[in-house]
Amino acid sequence: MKSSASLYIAAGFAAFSGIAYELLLASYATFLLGASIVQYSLVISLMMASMGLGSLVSDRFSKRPLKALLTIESCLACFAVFALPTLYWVYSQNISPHLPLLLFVILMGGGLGMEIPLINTLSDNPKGLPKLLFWDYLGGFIGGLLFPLVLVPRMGFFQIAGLLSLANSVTGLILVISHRRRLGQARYFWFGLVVASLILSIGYLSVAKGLRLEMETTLFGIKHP
Amino acid sequence: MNEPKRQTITLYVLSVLASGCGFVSQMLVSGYWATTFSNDVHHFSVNLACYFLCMGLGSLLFTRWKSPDLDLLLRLTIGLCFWTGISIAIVRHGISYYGEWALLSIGTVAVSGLIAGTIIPLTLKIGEANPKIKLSVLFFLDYTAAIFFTLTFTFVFLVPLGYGMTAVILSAFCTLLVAGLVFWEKKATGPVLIVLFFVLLAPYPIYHGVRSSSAPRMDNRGDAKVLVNKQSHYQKIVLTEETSDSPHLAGLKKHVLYLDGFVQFSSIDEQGYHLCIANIPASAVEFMGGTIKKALVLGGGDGLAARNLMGIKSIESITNVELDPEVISLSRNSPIVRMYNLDSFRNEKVKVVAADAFRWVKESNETFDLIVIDFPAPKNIGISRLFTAEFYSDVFKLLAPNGFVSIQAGPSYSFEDPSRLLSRVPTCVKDTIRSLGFNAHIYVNARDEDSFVLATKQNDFDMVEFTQNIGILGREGLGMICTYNPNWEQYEVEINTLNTLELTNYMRVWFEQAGRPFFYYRGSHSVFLPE
Repeated sequence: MKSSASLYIAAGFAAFSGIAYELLLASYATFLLGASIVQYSLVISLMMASMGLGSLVSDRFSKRPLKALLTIESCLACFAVFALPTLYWVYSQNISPHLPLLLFVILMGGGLGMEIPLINTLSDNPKGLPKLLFWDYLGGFIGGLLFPLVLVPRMGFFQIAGLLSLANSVTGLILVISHRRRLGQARYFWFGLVVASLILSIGYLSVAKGLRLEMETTLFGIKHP
Repeated sequence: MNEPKRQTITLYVLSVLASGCGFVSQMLVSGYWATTFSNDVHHFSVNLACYFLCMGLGSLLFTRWKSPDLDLLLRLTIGLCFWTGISIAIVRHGISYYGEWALLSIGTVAVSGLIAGTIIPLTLKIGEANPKIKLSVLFFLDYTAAIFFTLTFTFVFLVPLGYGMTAVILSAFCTLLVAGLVFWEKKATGPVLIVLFFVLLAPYPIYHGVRSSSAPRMDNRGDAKVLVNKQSHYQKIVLTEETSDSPHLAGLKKHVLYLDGFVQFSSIDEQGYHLCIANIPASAVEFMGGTIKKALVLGGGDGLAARNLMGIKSIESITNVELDPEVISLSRNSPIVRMYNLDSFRNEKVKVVAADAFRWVKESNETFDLIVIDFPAPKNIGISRLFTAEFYSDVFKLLAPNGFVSIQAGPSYSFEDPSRLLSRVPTCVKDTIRSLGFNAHIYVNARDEDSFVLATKQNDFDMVEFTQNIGILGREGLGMICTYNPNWEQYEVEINTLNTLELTNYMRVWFEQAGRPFFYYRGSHSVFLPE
């Protein structure tokens, strides 16, 4: 795969999962806390502010953009797996889920904000920004449409989080394969990290529904037929 | 100030204004659409997706300009300010005439997205010789602007002023800042000032004109007289005087209270509804040998459920938890509503609490003999939360061992086989309660096809015996108002939990099966639209 093509795909995947994370957390916050317009505005704008901070911080990693990107993709895959079960558990303990929600929004938003500037730094084509932005926004469009029209009607929120975690792991895999030469001797470590996050994502995705049912039964005594 | 520094400030400020303005414009249109049509996830996601796509197209579009300059950036930002100012007016006017036509909101956010999308690449291109103009800083400023603008305009202005005026103020604020930059850059020529003046002043009269113009659709309420028209923090409250179009009561005057365009009560037939929701569970308590001393009403802000409960001789106190203080105020002070609720909210036995029932139930530790849950049908995720197993789990913690709960459970009418089958909506509510191990049954208001669920912790409660005893088994006598049939067939349904909110889907399917747009079920006259 040409490295520029892999970067456009990575930008598309990053935006796809980015917008879907925003909608997932905003919807889940509404489910748990009510007041949909307040939650949507708050989660989406806080996430965008964190993305702004992430974008600013990304400058510090401009000398090692690939390693930073691979770390971010693995972290995002990991956060996605833990976010919803943590929020649901906190809610069940009569503790306000605002604080963990804020934490996940800031952590995930920060990571998402670093992606495009780092991908742009990784690019060899200094004039490719408009094309990169187009792929970024296209990914956002697809994520924004798939979330309400396909993902929410067909899958539970726990499973959607697993799918998005998988999208991050696959992005990491695409980057590590297409840019392996840049990693030099350390390529096996980074490859191992990406494979570990891939296993975590697939493992979580396969147990997501069962985990939700189990948590509902254990925490609230809901008996599923 | 040297030229590069001046250029840096101008470009960053313009970029921040355009991103903030475009993003909040999109949020306002999505919020307005979602408030009107009650489908939060769907509308927010689709609009946000289209906004992003158009930003992408906008960023590609910029390549058409070979040598963009500051004038172009100023023109685009002014255009975005104007579009933002009139966006809610366009959407509102469109809804009044065409109802739920998704292209209206998508088209409106698409224009904002197209313009906003050109801003980052244009800024970078114009400032390419300036080392201080960096992509990462631009992203940071744009995203920070998004949160600043969203928090300011949606949390400070939206509640007191409504969507339309918030859009007008946002537009005016951004236009004034752009005007400042125009003067700073010494580009204030006559035509530019005229355009700025127009963009600053035109959105308000346009919005005002749209707001006060009457819409052609009135949903058979041709001669309705609007007595109260108020936008609260939570909903649009409209009280009307109308003429009945029912074949049996044609020509009779009635009062109708609408919340967000949906009927909360109609004076002509509310008695049957409240008999079902308040008196049937009260009879169930007595049937099982209990006495009602303490009752709780969740929702029921019109005071009509409390009115029916006041008629129970043994009752010592009624706690009524309603979300909206404006609705409470209307029920307490409007002579018309007081005429129907018999001043229940002024009665010393009735304690009215303005609170979110979801949270109140979680925090309360009182015990009640009777709990009446009178929320609107679960037409959006905000209301569906109040029908979840997690919520009912908290409600049943407040219920006395021999107490009863009655719940308004949405439309009972099934489109597949209305004579035998119940719709998925009440079945889901009943099964959700049963999933917690409680005894629950569906009964319906025979006239309106509203359904209710009667639930208790007592496993020895026999619904057939009870309904036979009070005469609502079948459709004769009292059964013409409120009826139960043990032979109703029911669908297999998923239970409604916070993680799934399946009930919203069942309600959406019901609206689709009705073969009429969702909009049909709410008032479509502009008076019912949010501000």
